[in-house]
Amino acid sequence: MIATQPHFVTAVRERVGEVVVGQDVVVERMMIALLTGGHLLLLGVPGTAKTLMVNTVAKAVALKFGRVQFTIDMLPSDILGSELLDQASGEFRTHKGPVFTNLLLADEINRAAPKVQSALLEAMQERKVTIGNASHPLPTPFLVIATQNPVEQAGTFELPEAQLDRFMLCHRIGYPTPDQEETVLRRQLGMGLKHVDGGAVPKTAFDMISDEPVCGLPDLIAAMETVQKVHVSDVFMKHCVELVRLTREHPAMELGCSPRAALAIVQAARARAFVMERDFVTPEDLFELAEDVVLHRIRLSYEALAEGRKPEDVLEEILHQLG
Amino acid sequence: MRTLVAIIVLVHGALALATEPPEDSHALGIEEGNRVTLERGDYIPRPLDDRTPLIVRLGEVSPVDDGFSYQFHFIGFEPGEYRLADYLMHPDGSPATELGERTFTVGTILPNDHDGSLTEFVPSTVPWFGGYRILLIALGIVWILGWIALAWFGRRKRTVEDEVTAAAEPDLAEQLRPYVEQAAAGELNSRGQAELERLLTAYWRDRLKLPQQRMASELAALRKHPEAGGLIQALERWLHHPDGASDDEIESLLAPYRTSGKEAIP
Repeated sequence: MIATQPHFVTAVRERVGEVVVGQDVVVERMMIALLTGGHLLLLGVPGTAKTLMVNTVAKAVALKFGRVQFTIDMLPSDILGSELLDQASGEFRTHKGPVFTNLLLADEINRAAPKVQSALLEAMQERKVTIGNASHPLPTPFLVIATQNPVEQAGTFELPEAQLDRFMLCHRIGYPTPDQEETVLRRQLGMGLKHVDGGAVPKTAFDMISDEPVCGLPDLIAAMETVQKVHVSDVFMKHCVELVRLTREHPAMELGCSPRAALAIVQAARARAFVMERDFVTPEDLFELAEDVVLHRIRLSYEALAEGRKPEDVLEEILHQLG
Repeated sequence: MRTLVAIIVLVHGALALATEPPEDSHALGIEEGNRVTLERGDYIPRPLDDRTPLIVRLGEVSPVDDGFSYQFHFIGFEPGEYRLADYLMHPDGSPATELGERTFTVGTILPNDHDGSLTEFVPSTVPWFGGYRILLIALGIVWILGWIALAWFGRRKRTVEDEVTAAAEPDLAEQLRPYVEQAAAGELNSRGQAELERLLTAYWRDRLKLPQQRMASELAALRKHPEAGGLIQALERWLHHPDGASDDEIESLLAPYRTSGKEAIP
């Protein structure tokens, strides 16, 4: 049993549960990303509380939070920042962009032009930004949670596999169950009005997020240190290596997993074991995380796609060979 | 011998003379040329109407030792003998009577004794044999037979391979046994331990006949099973827990799988 787990994980989960109904797996994946410093890509249709969850987690852990809505006319400087001429002093002054934060929500990242995507993904990888001639390190922890809408593809720029590889996890958000959806409606009915400057507007779920953090940065760092101590057995590593090997050698696969995928599985499995109150990883962690770690890193061959095969089915076939 | 050769040459020559047309004979409907030497060099062709049985065209006139050489071109439309004087005249339009009876002949295509009847068409008994159509049909048959042969031999080969695979593929219990024996002896390395864990999980999935679903869900279902759940947890403790498992725990975990014979495995 891990000592710091109840305080950190349970507290954040309870705080998110006050605002968001269901989506436990998404919160778990966000915790994994937060604890490992890996970036998270969320695929889901609009209205599945992606922004709300990220916002709630950021406030619960007292992290500096930034949100960027990606559009086609954005420039890299809109994200990273730029040098501005200060007319009073006659010198250039560095204006840091929204990327300088702890938790960045990159909403609909596939709507931005490739040069903007590349600028952000480079910052994600190197954790520093170069503006003018000066290099600026990003705050720590630094985590990007990006979203993509899988339905509307018009006017979007699909992220290439090499850039998708930068995301440790890619989670597909589903719809809530009918019971959960009913609970969402009931909560909305009881929210009432928000009075501002003599006027009033109906409250939204964002108004229900408490500004009081349930834990601070030291708690997060302590939890991250505990995650680094979670035991990974040789047998588990053999399973991971076998998984990535099978993705590379499967006849339906054109592109298999990179070595970064195996690293991501081990890191994410450690964090999941911590979240599940274990101090060692098990094959269960591998099977639970495989879809989120592997699916965005593989590409099926033309023949397999022509036969109507789906990446998730091929991955399940591989996982069944493993267990 | 010389006599025999002389006779053959004479007979051949006589036959050739008999079958060759006269020297001034021309084929019907085909333009042919003829060079004639005349005393005067100013003859011109006489105008003809559209009913003429012969067209004469004057190609070239050149002086020679004994007069003038005329290159004529003829096209005959009716067989017969024609006088040259009827087709030439002087430049002033007067007839060229001095040419006398110089004639040339347009020969017939059919033999002189032909009665005019057409050759009767006699259909062949096998009209299609040897034609382009039969060639295509034959190629088509060969192509189809080729596919049938490929399918036949491929099917036979696959059947043989299936039999070999079926004979060679050990079941899960048989695959498990060597790993279990090595583990019991304490000689199983981490690669073997990983394989043993996969085989044991697969064995229980197979045995419980779990419906095909996500591997994570199947593992969760195994955990809830009274027998398989205990095994999975024991395996995790042995293979993944930092403290591992004692020899006794490993021994009791693997005992059901060590007994020889398929029936012995739980």
